[in-house]
Amino acid sequence: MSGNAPKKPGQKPVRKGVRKRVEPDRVVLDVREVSKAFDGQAVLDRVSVRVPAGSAVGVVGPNGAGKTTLLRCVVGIEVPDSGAVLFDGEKRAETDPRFRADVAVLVDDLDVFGDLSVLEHLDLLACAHGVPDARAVVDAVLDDVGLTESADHLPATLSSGQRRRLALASLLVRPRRLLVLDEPEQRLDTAGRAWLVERLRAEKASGRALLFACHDDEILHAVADDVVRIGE
Amino acid sequence: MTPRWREVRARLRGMRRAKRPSWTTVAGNVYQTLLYTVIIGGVFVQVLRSVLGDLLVPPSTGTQYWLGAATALLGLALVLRVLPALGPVTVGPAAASWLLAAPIDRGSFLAFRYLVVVAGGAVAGAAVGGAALLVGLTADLPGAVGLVVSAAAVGVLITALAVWAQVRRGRERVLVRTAGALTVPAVVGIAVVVLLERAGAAPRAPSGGAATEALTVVAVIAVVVAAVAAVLGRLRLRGLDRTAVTAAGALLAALTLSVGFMDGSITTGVSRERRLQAIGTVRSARRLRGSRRRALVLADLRRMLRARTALATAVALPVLPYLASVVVPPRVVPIAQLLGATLAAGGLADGLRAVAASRGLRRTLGGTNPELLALHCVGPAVVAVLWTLLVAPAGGSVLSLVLVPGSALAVVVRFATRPPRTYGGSMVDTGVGLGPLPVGMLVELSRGPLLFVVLAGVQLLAG
Repeated sequence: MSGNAPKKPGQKPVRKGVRKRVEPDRVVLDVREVSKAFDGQAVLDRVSVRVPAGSAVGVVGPNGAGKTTLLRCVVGIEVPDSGAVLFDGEKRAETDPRFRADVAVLVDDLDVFGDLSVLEHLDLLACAHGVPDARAVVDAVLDDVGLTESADHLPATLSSGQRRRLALASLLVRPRRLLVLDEPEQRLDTAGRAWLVERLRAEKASGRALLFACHDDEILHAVADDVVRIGE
Repeated sequence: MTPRWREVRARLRGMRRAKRPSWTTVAGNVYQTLLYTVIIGGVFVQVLRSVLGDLLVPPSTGTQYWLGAATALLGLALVLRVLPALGPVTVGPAAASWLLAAPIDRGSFLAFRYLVVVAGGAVAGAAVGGAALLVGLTADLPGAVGLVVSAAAVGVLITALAVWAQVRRGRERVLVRTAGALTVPAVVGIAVVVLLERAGAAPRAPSGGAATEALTVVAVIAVVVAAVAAVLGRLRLRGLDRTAVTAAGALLAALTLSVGFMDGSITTGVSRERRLQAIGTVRSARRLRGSRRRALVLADLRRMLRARTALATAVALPVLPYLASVVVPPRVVPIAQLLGATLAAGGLADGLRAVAASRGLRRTLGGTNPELLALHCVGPAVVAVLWTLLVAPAGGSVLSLVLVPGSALAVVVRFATRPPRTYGGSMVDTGVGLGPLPVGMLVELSRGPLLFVVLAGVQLLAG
């Protein structure tokens, strides 16, 4: 693994390895030398990532390099062959309710109750996570992601881009300390990507940690404090 | 120059002929399929006959007659409901891409498919007639012939109606509502007949001669009407657009996959997606309040109230144990109660199935897996208990009041938590012509049904 920030015009080359720009109080996510192979074929080879609070780490690499596998190992969908994933300095299972309460994940496709409307789904998530003023939060997020007019729609009727917005909204209506996102820019239009940049920066500013895989250099430049390159 | 369909067909046949297997191969395949169908079908019928022969206590002739009539109505409603969902006139992706884009006469192109569909409608109708015959709608041969012919003709008529509905979007709702409207009197009819039989005031059947005469007249009229409808349906084929003839493609593909992979969830998943797309927009219910657990349970109840077909089925199913109470010995009635309770609660367990199947959803909702599963069992459990209380007078001991809902919920949970099907691992040859099957898949297939059989045995012992 090597770590590099995307180059901007006039920017100095960055050194390899994980680099901290934001000096955090603590590291929220610490991935230590994680390796994973499928059918004897190594996909991840001793990858290490540290994501402090209030910072964002981007994961880049060509298709099939193992970006999604890394994120799946981080959130417990895959079990690493070796290495460790520490959250707040300790190993946590994906089924641990504390882990589920703190980590908002967008890795696989959208998982929703198909028979609840967009509004009802977000409302349920907010209530399930004990958000005090769920109604106001849901309304704000709906407005933020541009789904207010589709609030009464069932997810099956949403367009691909709208489903992506709903998936992102599902992360935003609930408390979170770490966001793990797999290509969050997917299927978003230009305005949606601009919104995403602002939103992710706001997440960082409010002290949350971000680990995200991304193919969009502009988003990486704008959001990532560090970049982990895989498969290059 | 625009090619005629006949020319296109001849060209296609010419190309296919080169790739066609030899007639001996085809004949061998047909022989093998028929042989296994006859063997498996024969074993199934023998088992059914021996089990039912020991169990069935035929009710009075009048009750049998009216039950047969209600069965026929119910079967026709089913045909009316299913046909529009399957097209009925459908083309595959290749034909949709190439032939529908060509300026050939669409009526001629779809004619053979229409013929197949009409024949299928006739067979389905005849099968419904045969089922009504088995229940006891008529006993004499002319009456039986009249009944089956009438039912087959009605099947053709329904097929033609389905094509009429397929031409313009929105019309299929007419058929679906008609099916619903036919189901209500059929279910109510069964309930009334069963209650009268239980009260010792069984209804009378029309006298044999009058019934046979009536059936003969109905058969003649039905055949004429069906023939006219079939011709009119053929003339409508030109009006079918690409969307109309490809809409059922996903469902048919899912059906094929379900059969091939022995996994019904593929079809139910596509069917569910279609249903939700048809609903489209809902009036979002009032915002949830209270604790996390309360919110999750209330949301599940909201989903249950939204599943109208499953709710209607749960409401209609109590007929089953009451019907059982007049056709099987009392000790078997609790099994019918268990079956009905399982179907009623299972139909309304979409939330449980969704949570059990999706790790992503569980992660998003937070909490522990057992907590989430337990909270989504509350709704189905309430349904099972209420349903059991409703059918308690049909028979069974006091113990059944506990055993039936408990067992039903256990089976529903067992089905819902079935892991994704695996097709790898050790293989076993069942010796019934299905070829080698993965052991893991057989174990998974038996996961819900096996528990049901065990619990049905417990019900039988408990009385």
